[in-house]
Amino acid sequence: MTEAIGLRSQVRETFLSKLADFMANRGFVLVFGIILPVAVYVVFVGWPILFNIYLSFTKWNGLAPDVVFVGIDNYIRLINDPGFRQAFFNSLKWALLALSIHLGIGLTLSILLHSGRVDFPAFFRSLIFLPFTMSLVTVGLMFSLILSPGFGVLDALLRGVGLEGLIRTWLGDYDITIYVLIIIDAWAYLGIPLMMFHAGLSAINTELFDAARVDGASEWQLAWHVTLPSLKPVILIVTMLSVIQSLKTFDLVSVMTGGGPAGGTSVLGHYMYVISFRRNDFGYGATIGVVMLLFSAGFALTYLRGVARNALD
Amino acid sequence: MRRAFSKAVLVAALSTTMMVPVSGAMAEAVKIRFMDRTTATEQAAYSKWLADTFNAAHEGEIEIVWEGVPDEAYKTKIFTVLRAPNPPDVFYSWEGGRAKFLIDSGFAAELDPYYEKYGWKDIMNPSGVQLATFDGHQYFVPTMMAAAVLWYRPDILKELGLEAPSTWADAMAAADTLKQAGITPFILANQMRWPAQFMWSALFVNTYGVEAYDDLIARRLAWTDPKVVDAFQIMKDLMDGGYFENGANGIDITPAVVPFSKGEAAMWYQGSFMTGRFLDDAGAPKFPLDYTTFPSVGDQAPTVSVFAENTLMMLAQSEHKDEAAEFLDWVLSVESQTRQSNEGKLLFPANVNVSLDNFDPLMQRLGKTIAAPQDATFMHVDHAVPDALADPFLDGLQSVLVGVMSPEQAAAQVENAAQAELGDVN
Repeated sequence: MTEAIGLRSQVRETFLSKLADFMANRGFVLVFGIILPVAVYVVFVGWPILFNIYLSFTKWNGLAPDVVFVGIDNYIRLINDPGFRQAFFNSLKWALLALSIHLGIGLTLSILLHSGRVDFPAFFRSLIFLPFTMSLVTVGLMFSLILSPGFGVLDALLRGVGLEGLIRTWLGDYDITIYVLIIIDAWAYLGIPLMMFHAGLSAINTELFDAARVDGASEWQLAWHVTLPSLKPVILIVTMLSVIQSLKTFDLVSVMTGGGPAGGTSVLGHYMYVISFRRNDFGYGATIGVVMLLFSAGFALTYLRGVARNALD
Repeated sequence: MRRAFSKAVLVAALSTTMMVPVSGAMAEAVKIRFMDRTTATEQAAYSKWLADTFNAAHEGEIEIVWEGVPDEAYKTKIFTVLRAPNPPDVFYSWEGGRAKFLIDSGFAAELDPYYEKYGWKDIMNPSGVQLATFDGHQYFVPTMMAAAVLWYRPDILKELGLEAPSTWADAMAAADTLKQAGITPFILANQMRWPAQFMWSALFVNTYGVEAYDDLIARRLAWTDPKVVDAFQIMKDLMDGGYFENGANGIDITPAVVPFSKGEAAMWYQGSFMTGRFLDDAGAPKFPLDYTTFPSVGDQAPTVSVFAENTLMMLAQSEHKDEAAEFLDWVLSVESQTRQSNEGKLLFPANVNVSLDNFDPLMQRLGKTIAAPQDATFMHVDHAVPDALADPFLDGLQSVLVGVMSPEQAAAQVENAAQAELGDVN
């Protein structure tokens, strides 16, 4: 008995000693450089994704212990769910319009601020970037007041300049509210494309412009034949970030309209929240999450592999 | 050096993981976890005061471990913590469909023995007891009561020679006069979808009776029933007729107080929780204000919707139910409920023995309306039914008001959700 205890103690000491040696030589990097980050990723990203995929094949109210396996029922339900279709197309609309604003206005403003024709360009860049530093919840609450019917600042301004006819129920009109939200979202995020384009423009070799000017290129031709091709990698990155940002939309919708009026501003992220946490249908909510994941990952992978690779090369 | 550091890290890590908990010889106070939903700073302070004061009086015996969770995060968090290894013994709950959801999921303790032991039925708002009762058993204690009433601007009505309407016909006649005077008859403020259901529920109950409404809630009446469609239609007619403010689906209740306070609108059927927005710090109305109950429709005697805004449940799996019940009794005491009304700014108390004498006369009158026994009460739809039905209902009602769904389509949408959640009509 005593011998056994002694042997166990010896084995333990040897193990600890070897472990300490290993840690001293290579363990530090292994543990803190690889194992811990991977473990964190697996626990906080990998496992939730896998659990979400599992949940998408179940019916569960989020509270009761019964989790019923329903196969692909939730996926079939998606196809026939008008609420999902509405959210899906609203998300697509959001992604395309926000992207147009980010690329169109972001690039135009960047070129303008980089051209040397505007005084204090850094100040204006900071000003445009400022909304990005604000929480979207704050932005949403602020614009809810600005757009309030009757006493909101926007309506007052329109009345003040004699454009009463343009006044709408900005956050309660089924046909226009989603566009109002897209514009606010694009405004809040515009600082990122602006800064990325600014970095891209600063990196263009000025000799290219000089050479083109010597060849007699106009400003328009400079922009079209020199600036845009040089910015292609930035444009591609901005496109990807903008689309993914749009697909993740939740805060503004939740704070400003709750998905209304009548589902007019319902987007996938918010619809998933509604289904899971308002209707307690976690299985179906997880199914929407899987679709979002596939959509975002599919877009990012296809885009990066098929289009961006050439440009980045 | 590196070797020494690594050894130190290893020894520290192993020591921590191999540490054996040492059990104290001294008897420790029973710990009761209390998780409350806090919607405002005053409420959070009051909620914490409840725990601190109780702890001071039960030192060494019972310790309340308080946690306040802001409004929006509460629902998602309570679902998670109830399933976690150390769930709260006492927690904020809701009445109606959500309470039933927690009961059916096996988390709510039956409180009948404690209702008996502490005599809660004798001190509690009668509607509150009614609302806490499911299949003959009590499952929560209401801590704050509320009612839906027709708020109105007496100055505006008087100026136009009108009186507070006692019948729906009077209300519509007054509304027409108000419209002609350029004043919005009713505020709806339905941006977040839930406000319009107050009027919908009141119209349904006061037109077809509380029994029909109970049948609807209890799944004995289909949501496609003509009575339901009719209630949707009345709301649509009011919207189309210009009886609500412009952009009623684009403004929330807080900003909507502005036009009401400025006298641009005359009436607002909404919960008594609006007092927080209508009263100043001294508890008096910030502008001319009065209330009446929902007007009677046809020959139906009006029923006031008295509901439990805040309630507390006890965890079914709690190992310290007696201690938790003692805490609940403290929450319902006159001292606590008085403080809740005064410092907590949470109106109205569930304990009918709380004096409202230091309140503004209008609030005293409202408090008496809420405390008065009535044959029956009703909750607005999203309190009464499970969430799986409430959400499609709110969505359908707003869709009707916006004009993208007909009353029949909205009714069918809710019926589909009811079938999926509760099955066919009983």
